[in-house]
Amino acid sequence: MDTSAMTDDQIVAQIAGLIRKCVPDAQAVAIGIDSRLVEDIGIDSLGAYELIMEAEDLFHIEITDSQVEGIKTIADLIAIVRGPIVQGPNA
Amino acid sequence: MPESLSAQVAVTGLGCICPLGNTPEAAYSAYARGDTGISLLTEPWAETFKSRLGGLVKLDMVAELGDYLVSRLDRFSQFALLASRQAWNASGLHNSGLAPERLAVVMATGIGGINTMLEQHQRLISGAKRLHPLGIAMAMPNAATAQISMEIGACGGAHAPVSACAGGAEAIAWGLMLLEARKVDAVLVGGAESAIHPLAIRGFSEMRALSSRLDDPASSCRPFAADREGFVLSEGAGAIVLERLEDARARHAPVQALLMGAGMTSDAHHLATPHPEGVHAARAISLALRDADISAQDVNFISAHATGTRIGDLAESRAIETAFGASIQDLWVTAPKGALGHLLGGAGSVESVLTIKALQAGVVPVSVNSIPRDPEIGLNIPTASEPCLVNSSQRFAIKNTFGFGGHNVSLVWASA
Repeated sequence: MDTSAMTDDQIVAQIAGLIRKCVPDAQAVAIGIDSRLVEDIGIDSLGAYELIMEAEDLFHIEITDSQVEGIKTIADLIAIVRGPIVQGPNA
Repeated sequence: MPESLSAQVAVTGLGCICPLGNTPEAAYSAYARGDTGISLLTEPWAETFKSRLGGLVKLDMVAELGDYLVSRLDRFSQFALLASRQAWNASGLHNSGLAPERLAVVMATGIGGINTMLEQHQRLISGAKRLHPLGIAMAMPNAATAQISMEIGACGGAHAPVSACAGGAEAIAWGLMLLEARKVDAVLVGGAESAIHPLAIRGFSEMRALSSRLDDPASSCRPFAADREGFVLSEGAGAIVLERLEDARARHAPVQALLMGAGMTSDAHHLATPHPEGVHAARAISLALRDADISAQDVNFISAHATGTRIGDLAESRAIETAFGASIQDLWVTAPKGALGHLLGGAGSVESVLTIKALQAGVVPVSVNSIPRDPEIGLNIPTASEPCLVNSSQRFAIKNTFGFGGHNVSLVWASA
């Protein structure tokens, strides 16, 4: 998915769709750009890695393990999505 | 048998997800009409397969379970969960105050999460950096029973028999034993399968076990018929809530049927073919009758395993003849797989649900696609729905299942 022409809100909506697969009862949670993955959305460690995998597949990016450690909010994930593209094998 | 190890066991909930319908009532209505749930497989991968037939569940799983559970559960577990919810809700046990430690789950499967396993393998060999972090947990055969135990709060044990095509009945037999031994007070039992995948279709096809009757899919699975050529793979799940009759009556629960007995044996013969004389299959039937404390003459009908293979159907017919002797003259033997296809680990449970519904209706269901009958098979096979002979206050039926590897399980069901 090419995000270069997408607004932050549009990317948030895409990520929210991924979160619904990774977190039980995610539709009951309001997901915004400042939402914290653990404290606000309730994602657990395995769910977080599932989200990373889904995001890599959807946005055709590769997220390094050190980058994963720094993803605390939706904004952090969007910054990586928009950041310098490291083309993954599925691009 | 010591009194402490015998107890009458009641059915208080049923659930069914299968190609004939996605509730016990819908599936039975289609079954009783003589409908079939088998069709041509239209996926691109099936185009060149000579046995591109299957019995598919027609459901929007995301609409039924939501994104999270569909993402976290292999398709076989999704079916198991849906069927279990039906049975559990029907039983009313969620309002009964039953302690979690007194509730168990026994949910069988033949191969478990094969779809997940193969999807993840495809990711691996295509060079994807990441695999699903829960791929192993989704693929494991106990995933369904684990998910169901979470859903209903069962802390009295979560078990997952893996006995190929006999698993769905074996789960029921283990549930009976848990209740008779008073290890628990209620148990949700069943079986589930979803293996309509190129690898499974090709694998069974290499064994020459599948029908390739593409010109008329509805008649492709032909149990006991002279022109039978193999089975058709289907998917789905059956679930049944069992509890001791005394407990069901004490809480005024709806009793849908009784599980009278079970017999389990093993052929010790071959990984994939039954003993040709059906010696131990006959013994499973006899043991079930003895466990139920009824005689062969009391049985109204047998719901056969009969998958539509030349070897298997003949072996089962011999087993039935051995177990029933002269009583076979008055016995109907009906084969649900002509309508349903073969649900592998789910077969024994889904077909038990259909058997229970037939007992409730007082009917021996038509054995779809079973004519012209193989002259080597000397059984009375109904070519239309027949009434159960009512010579007592109860109607009895046997459900047979025989699995690759020589697993033989027979169950005796009775009307309530």
